Amino acid sequence: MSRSIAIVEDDPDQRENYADALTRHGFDVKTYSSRLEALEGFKGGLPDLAILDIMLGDEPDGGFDLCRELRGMSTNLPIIFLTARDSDIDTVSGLRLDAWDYLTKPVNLQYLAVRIASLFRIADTLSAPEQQHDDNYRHGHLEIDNQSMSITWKGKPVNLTLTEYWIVESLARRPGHVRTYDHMMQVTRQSMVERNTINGYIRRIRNKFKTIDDSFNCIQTVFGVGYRWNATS
Amino acid sequence: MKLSIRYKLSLVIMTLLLIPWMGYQYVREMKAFVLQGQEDALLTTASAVSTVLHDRPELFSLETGGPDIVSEAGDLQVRQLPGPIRIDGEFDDWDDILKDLNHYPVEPETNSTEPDTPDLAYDHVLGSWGPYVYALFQVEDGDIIYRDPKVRPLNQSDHLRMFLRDQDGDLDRYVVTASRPGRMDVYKMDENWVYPLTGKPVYTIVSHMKPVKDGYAIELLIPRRLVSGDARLALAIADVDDAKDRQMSSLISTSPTRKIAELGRVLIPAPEIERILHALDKPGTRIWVVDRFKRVRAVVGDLSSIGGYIVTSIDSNMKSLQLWMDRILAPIYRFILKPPEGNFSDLPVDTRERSEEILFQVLEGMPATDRRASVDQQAQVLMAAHPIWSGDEITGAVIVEQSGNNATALQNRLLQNVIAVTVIVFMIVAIALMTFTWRLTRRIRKLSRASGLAISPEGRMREERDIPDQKSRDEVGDLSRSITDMLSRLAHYNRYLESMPDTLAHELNNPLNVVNSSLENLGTHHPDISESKYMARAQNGVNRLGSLLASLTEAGNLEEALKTEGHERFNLNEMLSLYMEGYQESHPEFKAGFIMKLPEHQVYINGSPDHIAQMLDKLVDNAVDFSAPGQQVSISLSVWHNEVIIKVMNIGKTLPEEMQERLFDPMVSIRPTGTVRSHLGMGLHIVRLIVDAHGGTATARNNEAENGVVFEITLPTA
Repeated sequence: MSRSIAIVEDDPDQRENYADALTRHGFDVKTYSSRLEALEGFKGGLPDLAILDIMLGDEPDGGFDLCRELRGMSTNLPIIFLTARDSDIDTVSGLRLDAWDYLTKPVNLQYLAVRIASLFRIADTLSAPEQQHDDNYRHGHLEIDNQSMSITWKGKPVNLTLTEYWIVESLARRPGHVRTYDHMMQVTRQSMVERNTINGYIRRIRNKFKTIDDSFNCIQTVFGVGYRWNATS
Repeated sequence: MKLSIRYKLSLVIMTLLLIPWMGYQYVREMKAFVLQGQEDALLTTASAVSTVLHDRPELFSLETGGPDIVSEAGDLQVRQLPGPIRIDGEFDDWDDILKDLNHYPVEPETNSTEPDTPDLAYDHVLGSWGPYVYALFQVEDGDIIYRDPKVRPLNQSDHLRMFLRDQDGDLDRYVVTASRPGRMDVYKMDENWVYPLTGKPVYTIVSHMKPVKDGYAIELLIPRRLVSGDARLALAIADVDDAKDRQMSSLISTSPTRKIAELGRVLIPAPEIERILHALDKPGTRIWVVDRFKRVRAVVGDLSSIGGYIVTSIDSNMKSLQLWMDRILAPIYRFILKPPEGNFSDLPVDTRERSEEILFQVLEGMPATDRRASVDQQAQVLMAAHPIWSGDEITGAVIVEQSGNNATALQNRLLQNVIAVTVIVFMIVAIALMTFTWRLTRRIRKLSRASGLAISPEGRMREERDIPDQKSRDEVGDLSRSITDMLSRLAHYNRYLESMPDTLAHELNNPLNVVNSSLENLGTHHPDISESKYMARAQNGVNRLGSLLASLTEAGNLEEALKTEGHERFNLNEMLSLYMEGYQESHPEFKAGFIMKLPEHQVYINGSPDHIAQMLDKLVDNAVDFSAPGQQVSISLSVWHNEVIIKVMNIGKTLPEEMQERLFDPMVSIRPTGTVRSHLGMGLHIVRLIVDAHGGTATARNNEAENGVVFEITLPTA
C-alpha cells in the first residue's frame, strides 16, 4: 500500500506540480488549498506525511496553525514546511512546532522526493523502536543511527531535523576534513542555499548539542571555506 | 559669521544701556528747568525785596552809610547802638559796645607826632543811633590840664582834635576842649590848630568830659550827615602835661593825618536796610542792595549753606536698597558725577562795589537774571536783580543770589537714582534674558543634537530616538513634535524601503517555484525535452533568478540573525590568516594571491566570527573582482587607539567620487551591467550591516596613488 501525502498549498500551479511529481514517485497524494479544507479532509483519516505552506490564502500563518492542529491529532506525524518565507524567525517557529523539516522555495522536486523517502524511513524506525541496528556509526561521544537517522551525543538523543542530521552526518563521517560551503549545499538537498543559510544551520546544530553538553565544540568553522568536525576534542 | 542666539540676545540687552542716556538727557532738562525755576523764584524775591525798598529814598540817603563792614587800618568802624546816648561822660548806656574798644596808640607803631610820649594812651569806640554818630574816649592821662578861658590859642590844654573831610572834599578841623569838667567847647580851627576861625563855638557837635581815675572820659556827638557817604574822619587826642608852659607833649590819632586821602573812612551801618533784609534772609541766599552808583549798601545771607531739603526728599521709599546701591555704585558716581562743593568762597562781605553786566541792565530799569561762577570757580551762582524805584527815579537795585548747587545736587541725586535703577533693571533683565536664552538655546541644541543622532553617520535611522521637549507646549515643543513625527514617518518609509527587497523576493519566489517545478515535471514527462539545450538554459535562468532573490533576502535574514547572534571574543590575527588560507584554497582561479600584513601582537575583538568571515567574503570577493589582472589584493590589520582597522586594498578601477558615500547602500553597484554573475549591489550593504552590528564603521575610498580602492573597516577592540 502506497503512503499517503497531504499537500496544503494555496497556489494551484505549485500544488499540482508537487502532486504530479510525488504521484510519479509512487505516493498517494491528496491536495488541499486552505487550512479548513485540509482539516475537513483529515477527518476522514490522517495522511502519512503532510507538506504545508505557511501562507494559506488570506491566513498569513495558516500553515503554523494547521501544524499545531495536526500535532494535536498525532504526535509523530512527519510534517514538512515548504514555503517562500525564509527568515530565521519563521524557520525557528516552524521547527518549534515540531515540524520535521523546513524547506524554502524554489524547491527541487527530486530532492523533495528523496527527503520524503528519508522521513518515511525515520518514521518507520520510530514506530518499531526495539529493533537493533548494527551499522551505527560511532566517533567519540557521537553515535549516528543510519536507520532512524537519529544522532546521540554522550548517549543522549540530539533532536535534529532531517537537514541538520544530514549536515552533522556529512561532517562527522570524515572527521578533520573540511566540508566546504558548496559541499554542504549539496548535503542539504535544497536547490538554493546561501552561506548564511548554512551558517544558520550550523548555529542551530551547535545550540542543540550544547543543550545536552555545554562544552560541545566539535564543529569548527574554517573561515571563508566551510566547517569541519574536530576529531581531537 | 555665525551669530548664536545667545550673542544676539546679548546685543539686544545692550540696548538697555539707552536707559541711563535717556535718564541723563532727562536730568539735564530737569536741571535746566530747576535752575530756571530757581531764577524765577529769585527774581520774585528780588522784586519783593525791592518793593519793600520802593519810595524810601531816605534809605539810600548819604546819612544811612554803607554796609556793616570792616576795612583797613584807619577806617573808623561805627557800631550800632541799642539806643541814644546821653552826653554826660557816663559809659553805662554804651552797653556791649564797650567790649569793642580800640586801643591807641596801636602797638608797636604809634601815630604820635612827638617821639617821646610815654604817658598818653586811650581807648576809643564809635557808635551810631538814629541820625547821630557817637564817639567815646577813655584817656589815660596823669595830669589833666584844662583850658584857660582867657588864653586865645586853643592848643594849650588837653584837647580832642577832629579832622573831617566832608562830602565835597573840603577838610575841616575841629578842636574839642574843656575849661572844666562837663560840657566841652567845639571850635572850627585854622590850619595850624592854634586859633579858631571864628569866635563862635560849633554847636552841632556836642561833647562832654568827665575826669576819672588815671585820666578822663569824653563822649562826643556828631550829626550823621557830616560823616556819611564818602566823608573821611580822623580823631586825635592831644596831651599837655605842664600847666606852666602849656606845650603839647603828644598827639595820638586814629589815622594818619598828613594827607586827606589817608583819613579813615567812617563805616556806618545802614541799619534800616539791613533790618529789612534780615527779615527776608533765608539759608543759601544772599541779598545785596546797591545804590544807583553801584555801591553796595547792604548785604545779608550766606551762599555756601546748601539747602538740604531737596536731597532728603527724594529717597523716601526703597531707602535701604538705595543706600545699599549707593555704596556699591559710589566709585561709578565719583567717576561720572562731580559732587557740588559745599564750601566755596564767593565775594567777600565787605565788597564795596558791584559792576557786573546785570547791574547796568537793572539800573536801566529792567529786572534781570544772570549766572556767574563763584569767585573760586567752584560753584555756579544764580543772580536776579530788580530795580528800586523812588517815584520815577531809580534809587538802587536789589540783587538776590543763590548757589546753583542745589540744582546740581538735585541733578546728581537724580542721576544717581537713574544709574542705580538702570543697574538694577539691567541686571534683572540681563539675568532674566540670559536664563531664558540659556534655557532656550540649550533646548534647541539638545533638540538639534538629538535629531542629528536620530540618523547614524551612515545615514540610517536609529531604532531608539530620544527627542527631548516632547511635552513642552511652546514652539520648541512643536518643533520637537514635528521632528519626531517627521522622523517616524521617515523611519516607516525607510523600513518599507528596506523590507522591499525581502517582500519582493517572497512574492517572486512563488511564481519562480511554479516555473521551476513545472520545468522539472516537464523534464520528467518528456525525457527528450530534458536533453534540449533550451531546457538547460531555462533551468539556468531559473537558477540565476533564484540566486538573485536569495541575495535580496540575504540582507534581511542577516539583520535578523545579527540581532539574535551572541558575540564572543576571538583572535583576529588567527582568523584572518585562516580565512586567507581557506580563501586561497577554495578560489584556486585567483592566482595573483594576497599580501597580508598582520601586527606582531595578537588582536582580539568581540563579535560573531561567522559574520566577520561573511563580511570578509564580501570585501575580498569585491576586491578580487575589481582587481586588475595579475594584481595582488592586500589585506592589512592594525590597531589605532581602541580601534582595529582592517584594510582591503586592490589595484584597479577607482571609485567615482559621488559613489564613495553611497557604496554601502542596498542595491547600489558599480559593476558593469550584463556581467555573468548577477549582482544586486547587496554585498557591501551586508558588509555595513555586519560592521554596524559590531559597532564599527565602513568606508571606501580611492588609494593615494589613485590606481585602486581601499575599503577600511574599523571595529572596537576587545
